[in-house]
Amino acid sequence: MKKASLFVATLLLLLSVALPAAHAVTRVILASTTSTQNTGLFDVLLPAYYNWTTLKDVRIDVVAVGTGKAIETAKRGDADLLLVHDREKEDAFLAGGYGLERRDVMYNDFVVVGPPSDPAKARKAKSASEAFRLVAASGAAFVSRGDESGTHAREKMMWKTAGVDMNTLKNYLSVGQSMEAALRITDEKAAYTLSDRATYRSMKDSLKNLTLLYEGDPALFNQYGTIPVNPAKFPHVHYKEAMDFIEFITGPAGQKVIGDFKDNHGNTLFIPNAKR
Amino acid sequence: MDTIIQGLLKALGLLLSFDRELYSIILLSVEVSGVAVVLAAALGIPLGALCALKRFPGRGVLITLLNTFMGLPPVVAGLVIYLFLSRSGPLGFMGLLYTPSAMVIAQAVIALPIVAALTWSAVASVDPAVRETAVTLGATPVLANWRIVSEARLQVISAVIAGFGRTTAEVGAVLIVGGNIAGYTRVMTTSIAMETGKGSFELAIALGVVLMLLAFAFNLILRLLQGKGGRP
Amino acid sequence: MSISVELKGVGRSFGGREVLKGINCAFPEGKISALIGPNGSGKTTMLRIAARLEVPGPGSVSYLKGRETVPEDTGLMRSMTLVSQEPLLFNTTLYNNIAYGLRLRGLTANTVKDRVEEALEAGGLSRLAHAHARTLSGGEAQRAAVVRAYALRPELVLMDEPTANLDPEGVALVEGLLRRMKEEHGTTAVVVTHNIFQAKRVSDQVFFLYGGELVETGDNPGFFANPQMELTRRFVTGEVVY
Repeated sequence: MKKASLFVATLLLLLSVALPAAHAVTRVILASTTSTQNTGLFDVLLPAYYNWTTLKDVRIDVVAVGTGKAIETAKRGDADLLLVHDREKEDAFLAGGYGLERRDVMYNDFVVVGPPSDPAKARKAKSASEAFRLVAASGAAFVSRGDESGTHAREKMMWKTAGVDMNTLKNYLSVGQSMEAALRITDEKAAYTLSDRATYRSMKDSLKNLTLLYEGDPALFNQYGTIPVNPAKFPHVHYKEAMDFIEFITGPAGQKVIGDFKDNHGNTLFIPNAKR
Repeated sequence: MDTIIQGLLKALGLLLSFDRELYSIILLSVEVSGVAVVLAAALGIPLGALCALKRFPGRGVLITLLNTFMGLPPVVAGLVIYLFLSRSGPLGFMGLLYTPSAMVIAQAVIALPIVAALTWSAVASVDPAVRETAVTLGATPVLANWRIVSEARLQVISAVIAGFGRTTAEVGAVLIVGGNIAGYTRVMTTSIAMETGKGSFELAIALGVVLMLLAFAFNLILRLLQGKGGRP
Repeated sequence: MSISVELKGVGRSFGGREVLKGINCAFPEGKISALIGPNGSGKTTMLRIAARLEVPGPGSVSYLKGRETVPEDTGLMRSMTLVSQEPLLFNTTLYNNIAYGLRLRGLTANTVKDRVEEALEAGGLSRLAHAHARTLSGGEAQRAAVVRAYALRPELVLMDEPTANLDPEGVALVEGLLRRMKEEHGTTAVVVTHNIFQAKRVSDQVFFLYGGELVETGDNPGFFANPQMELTRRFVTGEVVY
């Protein structure tokens, strides 16, 4: 019976470690996107924030999923704030009373990438929508993220603008995964896809069959916005701490960090554009 | 091929230099799965033993359920736990989503049927003469049951190790309920998924190597245990 | 004073087949009773009923100290033990097997150690103390089961063919343990044997079972010298009795 009591004691000890301890640390859940996380921005932004803030014992937990999922997470009350890039969904979020306000943070853009041989001649397009029209007409393979992310939303909008009925696309591959995974698959199949510039740049070296074919059209602008979750709707959210972080990233200190942030090849990935 | 070799070399470097990030991920994985399997054992061993030792109404159904849930896809378990722990769910008030505790719960749920079903099987195959022998040596019914379970102890331990092996290898549940938060809920399997997606293969391969070493160690221990409990 | 066992009108059937019928007898306290008879005569069943592993139907078993009935509880179960025909040892060392019964009786670790070592010594198994039970030969296992019973110092011991698979040395050893139990602790013993010579060597009382019925009983040597029933006479002289 001695063995049994030892076992029970160990069990209790383990349980006390496993179960949530008295909250010495305030954990603020930031729902954001995989593409943002994978650039490594948070690895620089968060330490800078901890340095800057006067709040004690705050930790920002980044849960990175697709934009659609991030917004769903916030709608369920499972996040304290959002940093995403889908204006339409963000506006709907606010209209639904889930968020109190929205602020611009930074932008980058989307680019069309595809095989260097460019069978669709997308390189020659005069506008983004023309590029999409050309890809559709050529019947070349196109990889879609298909995960309700900001990128996916923009892609769908571009097909619409180009006047292409998505059901008529012959070689359309909807992968339901992150930008990285989608680019890998695009590379594998030497297909076309729409990517955010940051992710494409950070992966460029390992994508042997892809090159940048079209860029620059304002229609491919990718604006990031941040929204604190409404404490009236979800009283448990850490509103004060969320606003503190938002103040940081939209203020001079955070904006500088964002603007200075470069990837492994020295490319700037985001352009800060928070309004003063 | 070049990527693989490069990756393996860098991986070895990370492992041997005790890279902080790598080892904290490994440690968290072992902790989460470890606590989960202890919980699963605390509930599962008595449950499995009970099914083998006592008749009670619904026993057959329970055993069938346990055997069915042994094959529960971890990602399904993750989904269900997520729905429970989400703030919009019944247990949302506990604030457990995206914490290591949520991962422990999900993995305990995954491991429980494995431990219980294998324990049941082990205890049920103990020689029926053991009970009688224990009784003739003065054991009460309770003590006789203890003896029967004790006879199967090596197989019960194997059941627990099998549970541990399953939980360290899964990614679906811990990703959904843990959120793969850096330095907080990021474990070996979710890291591999993420790093692979990013194309940073060195860390992914290093973690893969560690996972395979763990799996090898499990199987070695299992074989040793089975050898000890086997025929002379 | 040890326990004596009384069977009154005991019968037992298994699946329609009557294995025991109308058994009335008493195994006297402090004495060694031999239960003899051909295979299939119900000896084992009778022993198992006495061991409370089977329930008599009809009839009853009672346990007495002098005239007082002993209540049938854990205390009684811990005053007696059974050595079965094919003894089972637990999945652990020989030492732990011998110690099992002692430990659950709440004896201190030191007492347990002394008793186990004494018993192993008496059974000639000391050198195997820490061997795992599954490494023991058939003969060693059988001796171990008797040693296990000896260590308990029971008031009542029931043995079913305890020397069936032993060589002469082993037989002598086990019979020696049986005698020691009687002499050292006044243990009441009931030994099933189909070996007439063994019965002649060790028993005080003999009970002859044939076809589920108790044919004759008597003391040793009277029973063998002067069997009353023809059946008994033919059995003890070695005539084939079927």
